[in-house]
Amino acid sequence: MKIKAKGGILVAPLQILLNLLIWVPFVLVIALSFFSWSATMGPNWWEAPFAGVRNYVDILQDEDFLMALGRTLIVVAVAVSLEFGIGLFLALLIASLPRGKKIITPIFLMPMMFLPIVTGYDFFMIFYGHGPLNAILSMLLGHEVMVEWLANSTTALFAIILADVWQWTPFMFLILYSAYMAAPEEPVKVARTLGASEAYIFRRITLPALRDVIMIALIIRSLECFKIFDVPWIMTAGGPGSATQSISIYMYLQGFKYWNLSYISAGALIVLAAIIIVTRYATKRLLIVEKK
Amino acid sequence: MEKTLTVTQAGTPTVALGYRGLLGNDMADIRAIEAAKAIAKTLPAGTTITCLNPSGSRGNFEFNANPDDNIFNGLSMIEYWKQQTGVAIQIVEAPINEVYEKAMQESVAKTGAYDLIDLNHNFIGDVVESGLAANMDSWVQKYDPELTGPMGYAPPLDRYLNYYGGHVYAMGSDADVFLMYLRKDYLANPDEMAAFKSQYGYDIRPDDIYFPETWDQYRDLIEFFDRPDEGMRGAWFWRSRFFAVMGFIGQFISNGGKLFDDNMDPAINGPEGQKVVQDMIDVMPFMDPVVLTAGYEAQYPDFYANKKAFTTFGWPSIGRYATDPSVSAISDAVSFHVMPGYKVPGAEQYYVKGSFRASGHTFGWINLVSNYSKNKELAYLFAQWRLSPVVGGMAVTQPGGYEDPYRSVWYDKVYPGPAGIRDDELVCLRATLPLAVPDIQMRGSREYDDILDKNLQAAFAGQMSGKTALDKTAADWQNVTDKYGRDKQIEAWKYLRLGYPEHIKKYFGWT
Repeated sequence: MKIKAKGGILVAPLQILLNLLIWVPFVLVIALSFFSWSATMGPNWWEAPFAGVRNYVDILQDEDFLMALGRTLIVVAVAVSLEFGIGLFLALLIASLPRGKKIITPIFLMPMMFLPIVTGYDFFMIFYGHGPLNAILSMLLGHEVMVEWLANSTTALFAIILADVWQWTPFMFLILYSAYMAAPEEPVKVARTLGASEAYIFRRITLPALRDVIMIALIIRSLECFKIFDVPWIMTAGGPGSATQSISIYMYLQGFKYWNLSYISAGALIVLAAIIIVTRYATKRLLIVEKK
Repeated sequence: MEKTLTVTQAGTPTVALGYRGLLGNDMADIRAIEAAKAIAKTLPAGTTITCLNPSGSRGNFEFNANPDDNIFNGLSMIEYWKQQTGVAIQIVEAPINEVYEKAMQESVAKTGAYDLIDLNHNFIGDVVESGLAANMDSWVQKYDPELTGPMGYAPPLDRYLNYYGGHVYAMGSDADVFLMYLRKDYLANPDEMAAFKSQYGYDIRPDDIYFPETWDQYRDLIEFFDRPDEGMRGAWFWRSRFFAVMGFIGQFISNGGKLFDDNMDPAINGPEGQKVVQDMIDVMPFMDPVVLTAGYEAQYPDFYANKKAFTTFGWPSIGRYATDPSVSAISDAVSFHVMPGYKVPGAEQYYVKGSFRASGHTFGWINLVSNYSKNKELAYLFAQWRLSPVVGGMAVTQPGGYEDPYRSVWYDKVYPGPAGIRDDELVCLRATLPLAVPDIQMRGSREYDDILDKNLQAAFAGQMSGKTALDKTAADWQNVTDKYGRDKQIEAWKYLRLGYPEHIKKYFGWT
């Protein structure tokens, strides 16, 4: 008991600081969301008129907000699915190599080491009108190809998803590879001995064994992808028009370009509530397993 | 380039003089630095004035005076200031598109981190209404920075650049009006001229700065000189995010369009606006598709280094780079022209050399004193000193900065700095200044501009029609106006439009 109490006292200052850093801004955001305040209004925020739930009502009717949210969910769904599929494939492939794992694995992890802004700029240059993609296509097709990939709403979104997949597939690979290598081998050996096919073994033994890790990887990666900002900001600034505007870009524009801080506080809390609900549901199974 | 400056008094011989010799000692810079010395004596040693500036603008601070005007004792401008006053100048740079955000963060945080802030002029409404910008009226009264008069800002800049709501809140440092740049090697080629006349039925006038007169004539030139097989496209105009709006406003006003009516209801989506958007779309087949995604960082080298376009338009700095043989491949083949206009029915008496013209004044840096500065008056005095007719006249010719000549006196007697400004560009800039139209210099400017920009760019990318883009803009602009209070915005709009060029004010009846 004495040792526990001492330990508690020692970490208390840091704990208090962390709590202040987390909860004070959070409470401020909640408070701001019930006022009608913009930095360009003049008075301090606590002197601004009380707005009740008007900010919440208005933002839920804001087409740009809803479109940005929907667009971001599409990016998450497509990008994370691709990252998972490719990551799992690579994990199984590398695991099956008789040698060379120690050399190949770090190379596969390198994209993850890049700053997102660097990734965004690299892919901007790739998809730029005078960039290497058009140059390679021109060479292959024998005539000049001059497509402005980033000026078309569909191809621009595709380019952003591609950049995200390139950068974060290694994350999936790392988690799945580690889990796969740590999984017990006996069930697989027994199944092979009994004549089971590789597809059967993968479907009925490997995947179930990795299920919880897969769930965690998907949740983490989905949460991170949902916040995507750097890559689309550099590649398209949310354009053409607002065709690639993620929810983070929308909030950045509203909050720090237009200074509608009360309005966007309401938006941020709505998004946070939605994420909590979804994440809670997704982790339900994990919590049930933990309780058992 | 050594320049002989003519003293104006009759009977005085022509001599080579700098600004000090020409303009004398009873000037804004002397008043400012003497006052600053007196204030600095009362302050602790090590006092610093911190300036928030866009990155890439140090050239307007860290320069040496030219030999004719050796007024800095061999030091650089800011070193001389420190030597005289004991006050150091610290320049904090922010990316050019982030200075506004940094300034507004300071308006919320109120830390006093910056004494002077260098900002785009259209944001003056936001920084004043948020309480960040200090009112300069009393200092202007006391020290006379020569905002008007023979040494003052060139009209109409003298009516809007430094003001908000009738008060002085800024010291402007940049006449960022748009000029048109054409490839003279093509324009003045006799064979090309003959072929053009044969096709379009009128003459090219390569030495006339007011040619082309209209946007239709400009389009003819762009179409005629579109030579993709030679690696040169007809034009390089902005059609990308954050830049699309910059090319629109001047062209829109020159078509007789006004942004708002007397009640601050948007008038942008009328026939004038729709025509302009369509005209902007119609020239796109003669441009490299990269205009949809690239900004000025590609526009500049594509025009003067890579020779990829017959024409472009934009800030005066394009001309400085284009005429610099160390960076330009066309330094002897650039001609400067005034932005064209439209034939607007009912506006004939207000035509300027054949059409109703306007030239957009976007960016256009201004210097504000922060209300949270501990040394407001001293910060103001530094701004007055460095933007004065004598010191500022040297600053505007420096490379590595953004300041273009904003005082009338410099057009006759611009100091030949290391980069200099070529005479023909000066002539064109001088002719363009009376056509300068400010950006939306009101509270909410960023939001108004960004809404229009986003929708325009969507139209240019084919995502929606020009009409839809302008209708969406008008609807969203109403929300912005209502958010800030229509009555206040009406007052700000009525004040702002008084700064428009005379011929435009008269046409719209804004007197």
